[in-house]
Amino acid sequence: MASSSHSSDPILKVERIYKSYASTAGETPILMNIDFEVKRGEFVAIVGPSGSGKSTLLNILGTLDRPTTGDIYINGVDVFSLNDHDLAYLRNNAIGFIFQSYNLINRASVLKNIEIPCIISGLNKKERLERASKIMGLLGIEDKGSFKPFNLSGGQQQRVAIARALMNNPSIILADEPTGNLDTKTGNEVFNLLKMLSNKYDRTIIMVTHNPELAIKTDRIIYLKDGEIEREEKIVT
Amino acid sequence: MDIREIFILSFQALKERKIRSLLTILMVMAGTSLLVAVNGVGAGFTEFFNKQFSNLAPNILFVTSGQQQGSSTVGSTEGGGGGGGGGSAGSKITLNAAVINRIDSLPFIEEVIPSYQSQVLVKSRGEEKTNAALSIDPNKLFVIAPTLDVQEGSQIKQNDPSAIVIAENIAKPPGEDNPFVTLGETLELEYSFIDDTTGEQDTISKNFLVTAIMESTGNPTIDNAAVINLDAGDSLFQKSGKYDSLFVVASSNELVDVVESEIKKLYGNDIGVTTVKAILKTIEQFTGGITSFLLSIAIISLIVGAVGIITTLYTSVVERIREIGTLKAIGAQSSNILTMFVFEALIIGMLGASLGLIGGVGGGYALSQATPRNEGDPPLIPLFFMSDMITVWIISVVLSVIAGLLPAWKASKVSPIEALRPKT
Repeated sequence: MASSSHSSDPILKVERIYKSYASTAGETPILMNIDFEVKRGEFVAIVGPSGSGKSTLLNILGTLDRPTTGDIYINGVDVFSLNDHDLAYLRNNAIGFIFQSYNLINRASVLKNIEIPCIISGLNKKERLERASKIMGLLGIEDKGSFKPFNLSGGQQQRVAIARALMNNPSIILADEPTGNLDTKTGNEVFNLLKMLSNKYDRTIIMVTHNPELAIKTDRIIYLKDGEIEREEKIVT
Repeated sequence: MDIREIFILSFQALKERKIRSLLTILMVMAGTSLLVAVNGVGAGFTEFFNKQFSNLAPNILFVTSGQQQGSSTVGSTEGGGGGGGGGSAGSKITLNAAVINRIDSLPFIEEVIPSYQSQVLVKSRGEEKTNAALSIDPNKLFVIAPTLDVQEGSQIKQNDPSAIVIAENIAKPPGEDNPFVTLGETLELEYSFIDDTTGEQDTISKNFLVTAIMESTGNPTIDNAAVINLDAGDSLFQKSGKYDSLFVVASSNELVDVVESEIKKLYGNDIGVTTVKAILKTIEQFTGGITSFLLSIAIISLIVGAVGIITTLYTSVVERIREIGTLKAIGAQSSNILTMFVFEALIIGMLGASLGLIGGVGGGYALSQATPRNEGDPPLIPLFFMSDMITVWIISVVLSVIAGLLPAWKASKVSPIEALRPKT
């Protein structure tokens, strides 16, 4: 990966993203003229109604999907010039995913789930465990390592997923409706953890959400409508 | 990615679906077991027959004619003569003294031993049993069956037409508590036939003194026979010098083929000549045929097991599509996913094949127990060779892995976007 640059340089640069799907009715555009930048340590919310293209945008940011045209730079690297193998490497090292439905592997212990990104990257066991225990302490799940995910509450499971996303110290954390499956109180707790990671640990977080109350607590809101950026709103605290 | 960790994830995945995994392992096990069992029994068969026929003197040729006596002998097709008793249908030769002399004059022939064979009713102490009777110079028994031994107190008399030598199997049938015939007793042989002139069934009976009891030799002709001398047979069976079969003794084992062709030269297809070698070959072809038939069934069942693996893993791929998508999202390479599923096939294959070896050995013994055989024959013991077992194990495991490749490849090609799309 490119070396981290000055804090004012964008960690993520999205240039003229256009995405369309071929359908029987012809080409259906999903995203058009998407242009924005995210700086290191920024907490950005992407908000928009269903069908506005939020998920597609997040998939493209996460390199799971390729745009029809346009580029994305992460740490200055033109990610879509990479082949599939290198993209997987990039996802493993530079991107952390948090899903609405946690997507934990239920047969493996909580600790093993958290370790997986480092297992994939080939980190040795000792260092893996050190990292995991530090992050679990940070997220308040230090005593849950030997549990199976299905024995935990939704909030706890999402903390496990956040821990997993942090393991390889990614440049960007992508969170897709991270509180969508949680009640308000638990949702707020999980959101506050993300906020803490952003404020205290300078993590760059991009969160797709339906919840305007949470969105206004981030640094910036990008409003999507019909596949286009309707407006951006900087939150001043 | 740490290969050991992938292996653990695979193993856990199988554990998570216990019943299905176990059933798939059982499918592989069944195929492997069958393969091992059939192989073992086949090898056991070969060994069994080799042992049986190693007791036959290899320098002996069985010469028969299909010639029937004017009166049809009861059960004349009994399998005497070590398989050569039936003779070839349509033969025109009467095996009489003239033929014997002619054969005897051929080169490389030590001697020609004539015999009569027939079915008789043996009556002893109020009991009756139908049995094969062999009429031959009793001293020549030692030529035909070099390993022949007689029980203590036995006497073999050459020229006593009222003496009878009984095989142990008849004297004391296996599985029965009381002997049917004992040494020194007098028994009665009854021979029944159809009278040529009247067309009626008639019987002749004669008493014999049991002078010897033969231990089991492994030669089926002798082990199931009541032996009387030629004069006694000639009169009891009304053969008047027309022999049923000849035992031609070649001067060495190597010359058996030469002697065979010499006899054939003399009489062509009018005479039936069988050698121990030919019998062994026939039996080997027969057991080989059965074994390869069973082997092909075993291989089919192994392939069915492989298809089972495909089904099981394919289902697993569909069920675990979110897991696959998640792993890809957090950076797993397609090759990692492929390896994970191939490992599952490998584990199923290794467990199934290993259990199959154990099951196959057990199955082999069960199969050989269930194989029909004559009473008194030595038991059929399956033979398992380490090299065969290793080969079968490797075949099973390799087949399992190959079967796993298709679903594994499918899994590695899963699109994470499709896989992670929220369920609606």
